[in-house]
Amino acid sequence: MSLRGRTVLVTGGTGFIGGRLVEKLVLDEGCRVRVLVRDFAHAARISPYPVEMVGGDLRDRASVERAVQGCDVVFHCAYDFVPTLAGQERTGVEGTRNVAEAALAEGVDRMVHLSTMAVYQPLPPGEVTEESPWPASQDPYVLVKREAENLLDEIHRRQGLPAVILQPTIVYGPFSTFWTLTPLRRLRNPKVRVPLLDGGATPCNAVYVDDVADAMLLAATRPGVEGERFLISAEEPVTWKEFYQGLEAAAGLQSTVEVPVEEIYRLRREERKKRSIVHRIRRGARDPRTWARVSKLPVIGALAKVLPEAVLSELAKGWLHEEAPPAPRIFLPSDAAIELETSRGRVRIDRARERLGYTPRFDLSRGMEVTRRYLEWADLVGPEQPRGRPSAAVTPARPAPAPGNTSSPAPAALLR
Amino acid sequence: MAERFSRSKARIAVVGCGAVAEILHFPALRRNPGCEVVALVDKDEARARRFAAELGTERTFGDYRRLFDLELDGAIVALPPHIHAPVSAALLRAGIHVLVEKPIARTLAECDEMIAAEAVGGVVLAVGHPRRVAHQCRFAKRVIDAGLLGTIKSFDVRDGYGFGWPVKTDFPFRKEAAGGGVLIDLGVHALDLLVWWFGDLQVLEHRDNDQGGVESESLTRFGTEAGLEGVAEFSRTRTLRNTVVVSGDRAHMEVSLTSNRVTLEHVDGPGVTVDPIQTEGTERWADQTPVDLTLALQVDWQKAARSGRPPAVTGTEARRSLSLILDSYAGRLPLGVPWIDAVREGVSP
Repeated sequence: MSLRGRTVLVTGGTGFIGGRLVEKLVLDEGCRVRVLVRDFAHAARISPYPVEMVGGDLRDRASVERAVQGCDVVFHCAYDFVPTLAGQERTGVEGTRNVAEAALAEGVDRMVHLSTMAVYQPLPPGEVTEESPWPASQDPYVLVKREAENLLDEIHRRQGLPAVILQPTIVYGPFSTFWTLTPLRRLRNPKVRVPLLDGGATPCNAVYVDDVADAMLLAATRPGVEGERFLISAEEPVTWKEFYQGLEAAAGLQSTVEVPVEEIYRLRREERKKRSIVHRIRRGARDPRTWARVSKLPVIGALAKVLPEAVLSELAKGWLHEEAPPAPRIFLPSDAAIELETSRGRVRIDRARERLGYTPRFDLSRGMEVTRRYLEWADLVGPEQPRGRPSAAVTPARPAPAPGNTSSPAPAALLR
Repeated sequence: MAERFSRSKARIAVVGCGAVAEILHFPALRRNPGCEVVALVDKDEARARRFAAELGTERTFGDYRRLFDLELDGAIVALPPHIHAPVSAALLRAGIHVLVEKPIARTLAECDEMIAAEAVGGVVLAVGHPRRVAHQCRFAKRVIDAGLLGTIKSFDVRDGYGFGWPVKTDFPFRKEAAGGGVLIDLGVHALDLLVWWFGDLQVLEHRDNDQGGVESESLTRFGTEAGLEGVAEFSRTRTLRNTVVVSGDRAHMEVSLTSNRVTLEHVDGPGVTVDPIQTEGTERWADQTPVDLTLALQVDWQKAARSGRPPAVTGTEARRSLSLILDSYAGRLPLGVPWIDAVREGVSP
């Protein structure tokens, strides 16, 4: 089955994976693409393409039905990462139900549902396959994604919804919030160092976004795979050290430091102590900014005008002592992140390979090379700089091309 | 009717209650002592009613033509670009001063219709280009005009933000409504500065990534017969440097597009950052928020309407940057994005 000329709906099409899928559907597959858009503010990335944007919300049954109408295939990528379980359920479960039932009513050929490896978390040591158990979890994301899978299984079994579920792993690449931009923000922050837990030697099941999008295309077109689910990852896991260092190298940074997990727990206890009221008052009193603020109070300000400078500086000595700028602190990951980055599960993709004909095309170095080019393009390379503020001696930062050069060389060469 | 603006509080209406009205014009109007909002217009009249109470007006309409029944001094037109011209021209012809949001229109013909209507009505048409009233941009204009940089050789604009404008409809992404993508929507701000600072420019080369929608990235090279050359890059997906670098044979200048800061650097010597720019006396020119800038535009428009002097940006002035944009689109070349190009080229590390 080919997707050429067919009408497809992408939910989450303004997002990271859905956005890349939309690009492929338009540019490579020749589809008529419709995207359900909750917030047009996020739609810029896909706006260059001939995409029909339908305003709506997964939670609004009628808008979902309108979006599904006339579609041959539905790709369900949307997810709402709100903090509460109830909030995530509304889109993750109820929204998925709306999409599935609308797809069923429309009689679509295929519904491809984007789930996650997280349903198997905490990952067991050793090989992780589609047969691996779903251990107890409190994580709303894990619970909601499991519930959505169960729901689709049921609608498939009872009513014959031609649904296929994909479970991608650690998906990175251009526009990835979780596995590119957020870690990058920490890596670029000169005030923190990013820890490689226990040396970062545990497996990181990273996959470049294009491989996931390609798997979605296969899941939409491969005959006879309805009702199945597939883990989608790269050929082999890398290590977390390789992953973070790959990202560092892509952004021209050096931030990671190997830290035993026990040390992270100790630092977190210390951090909690620092947040106590007494500690904050003591620290506040030592902070020059506190003094600056206090001196703005009318009484103190008037006093400062009357007293000679020498007296003032004597007084100030009692309050303030110069502190050296703090050394970068270790970024302290959450429990969930620690659990993920110390687990020893290695994801297998044999089923996707056999049943979908999936062959990942990107290993870490190739995926990171594309990511590097994206980061450079997006001005996200090197330590973080304040924006919109001219730097001290920048000019001419990027000189204009020499006069007379009116041919049409590649823009990058022309302008950078 | 032009003299009507001379009453102590001008009676104005806001036509279009979308994101730009909600985020910029309404907060500015609440701080604007010279205006009384007497009506709000939105095709979704319920939306207009939501804002009416807090702006102290009871009149809301779903159709702007209802405004002709009121004794109105001026109207702020904050509609999607494709209806700027018909609505503004009708208001202007009826003798109502108009402050229209940028871009002034989608085509030069629409622009000319508005300029002609302004003359017919004998009123003021002002165009909302807030950087014209930004301290650092006015400072830069004086530095350039005074010849402090020497002969200007080149400029380099990088202006980009992750598009986050809480638009109520998809109009920014429909070419027939918006006239284009990032160049006409965001780029028009910087291009207006460029023609203000350097005079008319020619488009030497324009590239963007429009493939049947509207472009989110654009890259344009400009020049003048005098040999000045420059580039302007705009993005709706990336946060760029967000400054203009101007290079002369005596000095370089970098002007922030988002805050009241300018850096000057002699070609042979160290630089100095004017941060923030201050006037000669003791008054400090504070950073201006987007609402501050909108208020300054509203006040400038009101003053122009009262005094008969031209506003900061007239229709004719806005036509110059629009013309550059249309020239750019007319000769567009493709612009790739790295994550697609790299894979097509068979990227290897």
